[in-house]
Amino acid sequence: MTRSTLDRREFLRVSSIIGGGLLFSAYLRPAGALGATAVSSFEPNAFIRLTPDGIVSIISKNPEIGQGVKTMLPMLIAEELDVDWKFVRVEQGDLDSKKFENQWAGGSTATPYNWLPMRRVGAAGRQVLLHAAAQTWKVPAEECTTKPGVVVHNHTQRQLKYTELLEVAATLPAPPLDSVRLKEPSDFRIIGSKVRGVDNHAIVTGKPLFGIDIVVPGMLYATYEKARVFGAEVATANVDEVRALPGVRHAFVINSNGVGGLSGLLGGVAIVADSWWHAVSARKRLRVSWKQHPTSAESTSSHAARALELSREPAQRSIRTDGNVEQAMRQPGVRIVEASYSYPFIPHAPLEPQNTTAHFTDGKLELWSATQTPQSGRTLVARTLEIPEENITIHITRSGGGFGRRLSNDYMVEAAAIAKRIGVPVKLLWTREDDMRHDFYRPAG
Amino acid sequence: MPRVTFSVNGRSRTVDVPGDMPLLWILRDTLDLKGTKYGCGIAACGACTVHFNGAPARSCQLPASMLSGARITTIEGLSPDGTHALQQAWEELDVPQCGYCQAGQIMSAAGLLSRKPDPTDADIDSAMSGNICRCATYNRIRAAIHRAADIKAGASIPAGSGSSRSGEES
Repeated sequence: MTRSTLDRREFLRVSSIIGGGLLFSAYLRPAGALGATAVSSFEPNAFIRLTPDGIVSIISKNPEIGQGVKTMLPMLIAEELDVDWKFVRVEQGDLDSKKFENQWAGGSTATPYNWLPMRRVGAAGRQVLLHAAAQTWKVPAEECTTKPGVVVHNHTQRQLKYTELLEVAATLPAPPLDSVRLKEPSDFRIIGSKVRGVDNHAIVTGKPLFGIDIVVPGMLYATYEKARVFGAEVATANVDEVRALPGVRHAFVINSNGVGGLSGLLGGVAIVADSWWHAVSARKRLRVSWKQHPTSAESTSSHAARALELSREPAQRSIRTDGNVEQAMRQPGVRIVEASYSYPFIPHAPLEPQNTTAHFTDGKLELWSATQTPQSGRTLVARTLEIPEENITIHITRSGGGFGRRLSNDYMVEAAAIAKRIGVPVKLLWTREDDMRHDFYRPAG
Repeated sequence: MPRVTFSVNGRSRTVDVPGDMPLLWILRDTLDLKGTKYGCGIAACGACTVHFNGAPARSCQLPASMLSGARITTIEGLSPDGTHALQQAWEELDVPQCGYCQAGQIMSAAGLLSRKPDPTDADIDSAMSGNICRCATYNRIRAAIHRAADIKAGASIPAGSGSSRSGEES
């Protein structure tokens, strides 16, 4: 089985493994799950919820980092569900591999990877509504079709709105996803049309959307000092002095356990305070000495000097040879210009500095994170802090830019480590300087 | 900690914070107005732009000690219902990508339009040069400022597609 779809047999197998109690499967809902109780909504699968008010709620599963998936993925679903886009309300999905399978942003692959799976999710919902209408009219489903939000019986032109079909639809089984019929591209109404970003209004009115905007009741604020070279551990730090500063609640050393290498939890000093301003103000008084590390001798200037040295050595191998360069250089009138070019390591510098809010209590960890890779983030946190993955909840927030920087979850595991230590909600926010100094840079050359 | 009273979006607010605490953090963490963003802390990116006594200013550089009696407007208070001409133009032209810088962009642009109701490209480039957009939406920002100038001058708003919104605003 590929990981891109989950067929009915696989769904049933997964269901039985976990005891059959999985109402919200990756893609399918068992028949009658919403059964006898009064139906206030129809949820053909984990992505779609139709309610009697005509609102179509669609979950966007992937992180939104400015590439537009929070608008694009729901467009694919809405197209095949055949609903009017103006009634669609988009919600960001939490990390939930059982419901949503792959959830990440990177490599410009969201459209090709999700083009068919998301359309099938929408088409499956449409098919159930179509069957619900056919059952109501006692006609073959093949005689029915849809237009946005409405099922039509072709022969009699009878119509039923989706909102009139929710109760019946909720009693019908969802079809296997690989069996659903997709629209012909010539019938697309939403795909290919200009659709504005679903968060535009929230953005231009300053609504909280991003990781940095998260507020959890009782939350404290953290800053984290790491070595200027990568991977050096703390030798000594004046944490007792820092802890006595105004607003500071905690100041402690964190050691790396090596999990995740340089993109995992590196050693450093955490300062936790009543406000982030108190935390970063106290950090100015922090004095740390760092242990020696293999990277301790490295510097931009040493790298540049070594690069220059290497560039003067004879070529190790020739990658490509066109024509006779030596001969061409000796032609009369040829002017030879020699120059050397170099460029530095370059950070991604997303405008929103790295951050994660974390709360550890009763062995369970809840995270709110601006990340491109929540799944690998959860694995990193689980392995580093020895918390079972199933005890870690991750809420995916909008990111103020990604550009590949948020493929690494170093800030997430730092927040988790701090939260595990203090046991109250805490928002770790890096300074801009932290972000520039601790990136995974584009290589210099 | 000193008590400071000033006005934010037309409402008088009194806060007890350290005298060196920047307005940016007072807005975000004390008053829970999250629209004003932190990008650099050194007035180099413009994400934290608000209006200080009517003119655009970097809130990361305005300590509490300077705020007594000040009149502050943030993105949340730019218009009562999110329909300032710039907000309409930003939505209409689908300006945001990640969106993180856009509150600061809009606040800078609002300062410009209040001085120059019909700015040229050069006016816009000059007034907006302190606002970084890491996604590089600059062309759309410029177009949207021109569009907002037209809206303010009485142009109509087309009812385009994409009126759908996320659940974040309710």
